[in-house]
Amino acid sequence: MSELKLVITGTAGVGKTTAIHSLSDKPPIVTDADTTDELSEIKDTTTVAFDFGEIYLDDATVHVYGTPGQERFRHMWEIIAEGALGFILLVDARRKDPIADLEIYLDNFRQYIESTSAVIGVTRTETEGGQCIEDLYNYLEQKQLFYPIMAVDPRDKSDMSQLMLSLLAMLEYG
Amino acid sequence: MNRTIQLHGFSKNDEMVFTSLLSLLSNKTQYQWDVVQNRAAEVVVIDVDNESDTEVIRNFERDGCKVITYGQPGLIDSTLQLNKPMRAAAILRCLAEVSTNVAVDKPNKPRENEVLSVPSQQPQHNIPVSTPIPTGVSVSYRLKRWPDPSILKATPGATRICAIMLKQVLSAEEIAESAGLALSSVREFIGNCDQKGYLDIKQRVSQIRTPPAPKSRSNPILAKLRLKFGARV
Ligand SMILES: Nc1nc2c(ncn2[C@@H]2O[C@H](COP(=O)(O)OP(=O)(O)O)[C@@H](O)[C@H]2O)c(=O)[nH]1
Ligand SMILES: [Mg+2]
Repeated sequence: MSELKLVITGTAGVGKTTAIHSLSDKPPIVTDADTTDELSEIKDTTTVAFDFGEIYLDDATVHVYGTPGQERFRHMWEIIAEGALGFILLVDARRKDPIADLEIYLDNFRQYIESTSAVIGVTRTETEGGQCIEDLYNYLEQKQLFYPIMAVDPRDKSDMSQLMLSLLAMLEYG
Repeated sequence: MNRTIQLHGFSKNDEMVFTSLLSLLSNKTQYQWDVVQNRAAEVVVIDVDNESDTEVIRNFERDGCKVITYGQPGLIDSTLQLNKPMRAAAILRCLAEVSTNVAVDKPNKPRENEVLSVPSQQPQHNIPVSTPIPTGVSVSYRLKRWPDPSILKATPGATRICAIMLKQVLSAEEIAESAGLALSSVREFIGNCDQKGYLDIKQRVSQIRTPPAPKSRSNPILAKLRLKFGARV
């Protein structure tokens, strides 16, 4: 049987590693390393290769991968995406252009998302999340794309469970 | 021909709000509705916060009157329910639902499976002889926004309903069939979403057709994950 996996993607610092932590049954393997580039302003460490978590079912294990944040690791995206059950796209509401951020990930994973499904979780909505979500919906509508968009805090297990349930519903019934 | 509607148990204020909304909406409803008093109307709207006697409701139904209940959201489990506070979209939805039955005897039957936006007028099409006879106008919905967790948690299976309604315009019956859920759950969910303005509501002219069969994409792994992350159904 091929590997059962889910993919979490999004810009550096959006909350991928944290999200995997909330979803995973064991502490994720995190391949973060100290960063010396401009990302160090956002956080002390950033994902250089990928993060990896595991969800245990009675007779199977589902792997959860976070994509590497930095450009120079993009060649890994396809390896991670190939054969995935579904995609969680995280968007940081505080960034300058969340629509452009989403577009990058939608475009890069298009063929994989079209043959499976995706949900969009908007993080850091504590301050101005509502408008960001509205803008993202309008963008998707223009593109005639229909995916759930939800405000989530990746640190919150119940938010992450709801996001996961939405993805599963899209995979089964969407 | 005008249709008649009666209000029962309404406060003076709600009566005024309903009557004025109805006249404002008159160009958006399929029929012209007249609010009548103290006589047998085709439809009655009952404020169940003021009239809790179920016998009264049954009497209306026995007289052949279609009953729309009006009350606090979640209190009543009625197929045709108008939640408080009153919203224009909810009135349109209820009237379109009760219209499905009376539509059969309309002389000019519109084309089947045509999707009409609620604000549009009924077109007068002739149907080719070979076309199955449409049974009337049904109201259909599409979900424009993924609801907040409170709505998703209120109805078992809500997340599944959302996935079904996100891309397609479907009637409550079609959604219930696709989701494998009770019609009352679907209606409860639709009512909650309508309150928040999450729905795109259309009137669709259709014949009775077999609703899309439940998707057989179900995969045991997905079902197990669903239970693991707390789904109730
Ligand atoms: N306040 C707040 N902090 C968040 C949110 N999402 C993530 N974080 C924090 O942002 C930091 C970076 O998250 P991380 O998971 O490492 O991001 P990654 O680069 O995408 O893996 C962590 O300290 C998180 O706790 C959020 O929604 N609100
Ligand atoms: Mg990370």
